[in-house]
Amino acid sequence: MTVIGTEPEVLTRKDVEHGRWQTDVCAPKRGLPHTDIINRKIVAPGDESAMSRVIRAHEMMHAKISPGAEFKKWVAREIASEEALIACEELRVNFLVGRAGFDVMNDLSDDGETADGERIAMLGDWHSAVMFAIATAGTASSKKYLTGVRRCRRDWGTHLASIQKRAIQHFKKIEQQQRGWETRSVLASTNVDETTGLAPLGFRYTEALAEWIDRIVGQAPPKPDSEDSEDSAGSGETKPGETTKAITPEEFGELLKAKTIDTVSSSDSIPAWGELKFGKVQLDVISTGTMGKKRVATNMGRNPRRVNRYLTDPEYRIFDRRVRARGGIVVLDCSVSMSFTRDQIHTIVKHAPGATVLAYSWNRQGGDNAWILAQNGKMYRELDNIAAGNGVDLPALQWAIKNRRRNEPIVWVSDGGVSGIGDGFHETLDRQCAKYVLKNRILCAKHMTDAVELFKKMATGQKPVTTLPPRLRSYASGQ
Amino acid sequence: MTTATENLPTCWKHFQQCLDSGIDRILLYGPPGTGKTYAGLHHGNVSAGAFRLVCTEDMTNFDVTGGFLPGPNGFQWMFGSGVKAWEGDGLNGGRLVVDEIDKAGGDVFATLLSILDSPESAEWTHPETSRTHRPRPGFSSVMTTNIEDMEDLPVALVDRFPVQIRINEPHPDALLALSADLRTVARNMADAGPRRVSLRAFKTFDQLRKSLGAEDAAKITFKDRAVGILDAMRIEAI
Repeated sequence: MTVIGTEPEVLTRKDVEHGRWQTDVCAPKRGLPHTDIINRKIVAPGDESAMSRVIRAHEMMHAKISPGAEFKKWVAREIASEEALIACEELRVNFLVGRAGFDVMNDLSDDGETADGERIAMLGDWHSAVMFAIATAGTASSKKYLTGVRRCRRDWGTHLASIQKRAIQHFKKIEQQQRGWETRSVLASTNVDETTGLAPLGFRYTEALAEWIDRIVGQAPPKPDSEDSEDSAGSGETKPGETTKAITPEEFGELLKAKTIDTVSSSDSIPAWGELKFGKVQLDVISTGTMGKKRVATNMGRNPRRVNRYLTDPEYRIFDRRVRARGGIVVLDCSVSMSFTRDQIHTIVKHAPGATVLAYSWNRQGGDNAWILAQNGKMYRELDNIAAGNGVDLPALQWAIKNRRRNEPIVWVSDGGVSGIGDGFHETLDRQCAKYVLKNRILCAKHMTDAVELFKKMATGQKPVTTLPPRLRSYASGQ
Repeated sequence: MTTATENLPTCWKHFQQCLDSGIDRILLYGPPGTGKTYAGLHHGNVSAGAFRLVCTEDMTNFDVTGGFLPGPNGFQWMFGSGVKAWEGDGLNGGRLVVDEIDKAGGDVFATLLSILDSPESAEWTHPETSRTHRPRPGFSSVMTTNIEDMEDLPVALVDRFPVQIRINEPHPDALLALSADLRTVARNMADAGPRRVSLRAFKTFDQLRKSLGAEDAAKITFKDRAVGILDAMRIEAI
């Protein structure tokens, strides 16, 4: 029997040097064929069947367009989860294999998908159901998989089909936006992004889709109705941490439809945050007062949190009490849109005594973009003009979380007009920032007066309640 | 040559830079079908002539220095490529292109070593006229081989060619003979190890597909690999 091999040496990439590949054959079964771009190894079926031919094309497409060593960098951006990136990359690859003239709609299936769909739906595993649906969208596997899902969860079948349709539409839309002079698909681009150094450039469309998929899987599905749940009692139960509010399948469908995929323009560079670069500011003014709180041991109370002291402390201070102390971190957005005067910055720092104050503002020339204006009970005296762009909003907040002691409060003074490298606005960055603020319960103040008011409340022991800055508010519901 | 030096692939750029700098002994090695011999015969200053010598086990010194051949006026001395290249156009030395020198027999190899020796040491005396021939100024030599490991070549020979360049892709000018969609593929496959496909094979495929269509042309040219190569070309074109 003739063994038909793959020919990966034919393929060219702009982000990886051309070289020799190692090839091997395997059975045409899901999970066996694979491509290792880093070590240049490709394993694919070698028989003459139509299915094997499409699988070989699928693996060669991976070799042509998928990220190799760069994949870790994409994951580290934390815009989308690794699992979603892998599933969406399968879709991008299958979509382009179809574009190359291979019949993925009829030939790409190993006939095990119906059982997979049935098993996943029976377990009520919405997360895996979506990932599998995305990975098989637009192929012969998809129909069989959805058939299996519908056997246990009819409503899921409808939702998954709709998700697949929207995901494919996302890629079609990108192709339609392609400029006439571009002879090759931007979806398959292996160029290196000039701003971020990330590659392959075409993978950003996968990332945008994966970010949307993460939101889709984050939406807890409704419990199965009585008709559907006869054979699968207990399946579809809400997992810990998910909302327990009962919704109907129709409402669930509406919630999914409300989630939209971020637009990605082929002419823009990849949205990314800048790197935090600290400038030196002399802190030589003593700042008195406290904004934070700390726990100290006491011999009165209700909860004996320090039982160990019963043996070691002669005064048996086994309880906790909160006292005012230095603490708290204030993250100050000093971009042009905030138009802070020096006096206003000074007022904010003065009203946050004992707190660490980090001011940030993107410097187009690539210089310093973050300055600590107060720390350890000392604050600055003189400040150079620092107002420019944003660029490092999320890294500044991440720095605050990393440097926070226990649960000290973090206050972000910003209008929410966040932007990335080059001061470019992008909804992916907005969303990432909003998610981070909500996840870490960062307090927000949109300008000086709100900040001062917030600090005053905190100083008097009142529990502060804040909302996201207006520009980021629309992302609060995860839409 | 139509491609500017700065746009050449690294290996060809190095070759061109060596020629431009007046280096007169260059060894080109690497996979066959990448245009090494063509470059040796045509690139750089070859106005005084370029003379090719293809080495085999059966060849004799006749091809290098020359020998007597019967003619209408009895036996006459015919110069071999080595001495012809030394003499060039009578004023300046020409270029000697030696293909597959590793395949030459012992005595030919020894003669070639003296032909390719440094100009101060190289000389050969005509057996009939007793005239001593030396390489004229401007004599240069390009040696080509498909051997990948330079340690497989005799030390004395490698020593005469301090510049050794591995040619791993066809010269862009040679690729211009192909249709546009085949140029990148042919370039990539020239150094694909055991799955290498030569530039000549792609030229044949290109010619055949005009009349037979791509599938039949691929079957004739690439045989068992036709389906794999055509599929990969479809992926590459995306």
